[in-house]
Amino acid sequence: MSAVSLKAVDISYGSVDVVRNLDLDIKAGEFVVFVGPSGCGKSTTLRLIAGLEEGRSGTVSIGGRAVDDVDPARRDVAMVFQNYALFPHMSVAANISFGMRLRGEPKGRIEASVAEVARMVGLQDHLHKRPGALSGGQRQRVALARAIVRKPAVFLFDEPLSNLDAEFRAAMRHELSRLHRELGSTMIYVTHDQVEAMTMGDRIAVLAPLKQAGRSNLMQFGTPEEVYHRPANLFVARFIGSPPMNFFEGRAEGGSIRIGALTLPGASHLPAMLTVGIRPEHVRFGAGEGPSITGIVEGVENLGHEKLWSVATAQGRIVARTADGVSHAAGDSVTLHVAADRLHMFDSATGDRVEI
Amino acid sequence: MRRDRHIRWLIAPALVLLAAGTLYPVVYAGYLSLLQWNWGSEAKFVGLRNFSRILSGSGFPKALFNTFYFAIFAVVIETLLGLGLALAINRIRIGAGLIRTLMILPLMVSGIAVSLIWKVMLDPTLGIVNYLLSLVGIAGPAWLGTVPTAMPSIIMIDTWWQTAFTFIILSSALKSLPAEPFEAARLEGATPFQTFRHVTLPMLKPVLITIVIFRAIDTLKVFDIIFGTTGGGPLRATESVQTLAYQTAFKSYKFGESAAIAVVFSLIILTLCIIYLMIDTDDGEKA
Amino acid sequence: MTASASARRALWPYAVAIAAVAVSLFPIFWILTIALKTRMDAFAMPPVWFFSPVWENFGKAWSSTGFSGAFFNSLIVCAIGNVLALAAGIPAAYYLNRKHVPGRRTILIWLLISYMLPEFLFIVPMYVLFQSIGLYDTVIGLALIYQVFTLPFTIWLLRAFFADIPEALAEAARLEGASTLRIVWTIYVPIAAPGIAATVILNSIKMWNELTIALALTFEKAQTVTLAVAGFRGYASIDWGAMSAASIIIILPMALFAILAQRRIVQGLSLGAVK
Repeated sequence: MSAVSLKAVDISYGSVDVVRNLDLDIKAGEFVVFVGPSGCGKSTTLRLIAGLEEGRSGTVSIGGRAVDDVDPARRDVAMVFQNYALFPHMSVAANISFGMRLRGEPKGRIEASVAEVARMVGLQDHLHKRPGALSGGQRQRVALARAIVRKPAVFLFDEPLSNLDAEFRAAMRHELSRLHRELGSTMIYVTHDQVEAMTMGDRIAVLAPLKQAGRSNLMQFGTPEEVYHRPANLFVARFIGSPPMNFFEGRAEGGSIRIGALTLPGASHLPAMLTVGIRPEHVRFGAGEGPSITGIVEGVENLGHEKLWSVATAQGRIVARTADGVSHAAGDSVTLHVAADRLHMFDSATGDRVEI
Repeated sequence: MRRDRHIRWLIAPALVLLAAGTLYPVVYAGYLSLLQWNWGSEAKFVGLRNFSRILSGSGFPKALFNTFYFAIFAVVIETLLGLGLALAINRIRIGAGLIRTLMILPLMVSGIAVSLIWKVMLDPTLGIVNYLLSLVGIAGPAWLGTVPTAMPSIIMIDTWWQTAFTFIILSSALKSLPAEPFEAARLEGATPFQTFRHVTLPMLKPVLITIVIFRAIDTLKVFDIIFGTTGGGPLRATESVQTLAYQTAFKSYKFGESAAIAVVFSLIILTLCIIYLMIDTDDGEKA
Repeated sequence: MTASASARRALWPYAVAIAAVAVSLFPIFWILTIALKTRMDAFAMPPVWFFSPVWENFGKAWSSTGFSGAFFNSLIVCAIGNVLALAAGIPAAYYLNRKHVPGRRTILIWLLISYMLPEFLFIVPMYVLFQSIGLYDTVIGLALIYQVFTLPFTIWLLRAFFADIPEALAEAARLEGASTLRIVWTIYVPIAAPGIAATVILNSIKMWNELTIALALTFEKAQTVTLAVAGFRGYASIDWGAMSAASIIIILPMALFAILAQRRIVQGLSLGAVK
């Protein structure tokens, strides 16, 4: 049974459509990440699931039950907001127990739950403090604790780490993954950061703004491996991966693909115009098996553990990622070869992936 | 946020109070203005005769003139004075809080107390003002008692009373201005006057417009300090629209005529209101 | 630049400030000295600067007909007026802060206009209405009619204070099952408490000092302190001492407010004008 399911969901603000024709099935216990650039409707969709936003049409089900007319509080979801949304005039303990007190649960149980959850997120020494006295990371933990204490069927995270420092963010990523394993709950996590998406998601839903997306915002819904190694279309191929994939415009001729003077093996039934992509780590220096390209080194970014080379070729600029042992100087003439089995082919007209 | 179906009940009490407090009286005042009625007698429908009477008589035009005379001078003086004080006092580092606290005291004083204070101070023979003037050889006039000096005196009293309002608001507005434009102006070698003219003033413009409108509305409705000092005299030299409306309704018991005065005057203020809203939306939706 | 020139430049704001404070305070100080002088000294010319204070003027003012009753009437009117304004104004301010609620713009303009209408537009109709339903010359009636200006002001100010509270707080509370009323009461009211205090102070000052409406809609029982003080107007040339003492009595509560809550008053005034 799916934990959360969206059927043909449309959302609009006034006359502006934000989300169109969205279908999504999220399995129980899954950690699903909604990722996409701003304006792709990822937060709006999350808020629709929470009940904070109203769809124009379509159905949202949680745990097999249609919840379109169900009050947000009765959907069995908890949400962690981007700016934490802590109540500044209440102590940490009061923030965590706000909902329980509202529901009139017995005092003893409230205290026990607060203590347990505080221990889980490492806040036991801060329960009496006001949010204003806490660091950003600690505030995030309070928001997390407030969600955990509800024991919801579904956790909703709206860019929860975007206000944290880089080092904290990595630590919180691990912590959220650990929490997911411990609680086993369904979690939906919205972010624009593909590192968060790749590292945390069991599955990733890549969303695009409607003006780029066409029929539906959902560009691909798959595991991190699928999204990275078999992007379903040009949008996903461009969005996922840093530095981004190299692209070339090509034409299908006979059974092969021509990119300028370069010929790549193809197949029959190819669309006339193709966009060919290759990730920087699949471009190598020196001759080898597969197609080779010559070019001139323009520059290098040394990241310590690896180097990113920018090479000007007749087919356009190519970025190659190598280990730090490789060394060339700017202006050097080099030969690159690309792993033919790592090429991604897309129909230039529709943007869809073409399998060879 | 998704709408809560019950949220409209939140506005209901305010709407009921507002409707009872403004909508009903506005409609009823419009109706009253068409009647000849002095409370005791039978009301008689007279059409627009109240309007033609007040507009052709001498009382209302005179009061309207006095009111605008008062309002224009009071607003201009209070705004300029408040701006000057704010510019000066915002340079002060030590004791600025205390100075502000002391300077807002006049604003806390009831209009009626303001009247009595100044009546005592401006008394022609026993008042401190004329005594102080006599020390430098000036024979002070009967400030509130002669036609040429009465309205300027009222303007002076209002200036003492209300300048703190413009001062306080301009002072907070000045404090909240960003520092960068001033630093940039200094790097460009602008003189203090150039900085004021091209940096401070443009940034204060929205607040200045708001202040002028607020003070204009307030001064046009002037009542307390005239009622408490001259009562509209001498020879109607300080009769304002509101004191005239009071006299007409509660001394002469001409309810219809008083309503007509209030209706005409409200339309004038409403026009100002609309101009304000137009200026406000020109500057972009702030609210 | 010489040292003395720069010192002059640093000092002139103080000179302006001292002059402004002196002009602002002198009239109040002067009336206070008259209230504390004997009748002889009050009329003395040149003025008597050094004297031993007498308190009989305050006793005379306080025990004059209706004065103490009027003083308490004003207190009650302020209390009821503030309760009404907050009871109707807090939910209204929350409502008007929501972006897509029906009638939002119309109501905001209506508030602005009702704040700007001259008192006598509604005084005469209200006089007729109050006479017929028994609210004439009652403190309740006065507190009700004061809503014409306190309610728009309250809503306007609280809306500005509420606008600083992130909407996510309301959403978080909503997800926990809080009703809208509870969100207003347990989230917005405590967080905006300083703003509510500023609103109450400014409303109190307005109502305490109000004369025009009280003059028309009360007669005897519900007379306010401003009317009691106005009663001394006629005797101006006769009994300056009691009149001055009465003025000081009406000024004193508000002056204390100003000194104790200067920051709130400044904040409220500026927000009211700027937002």
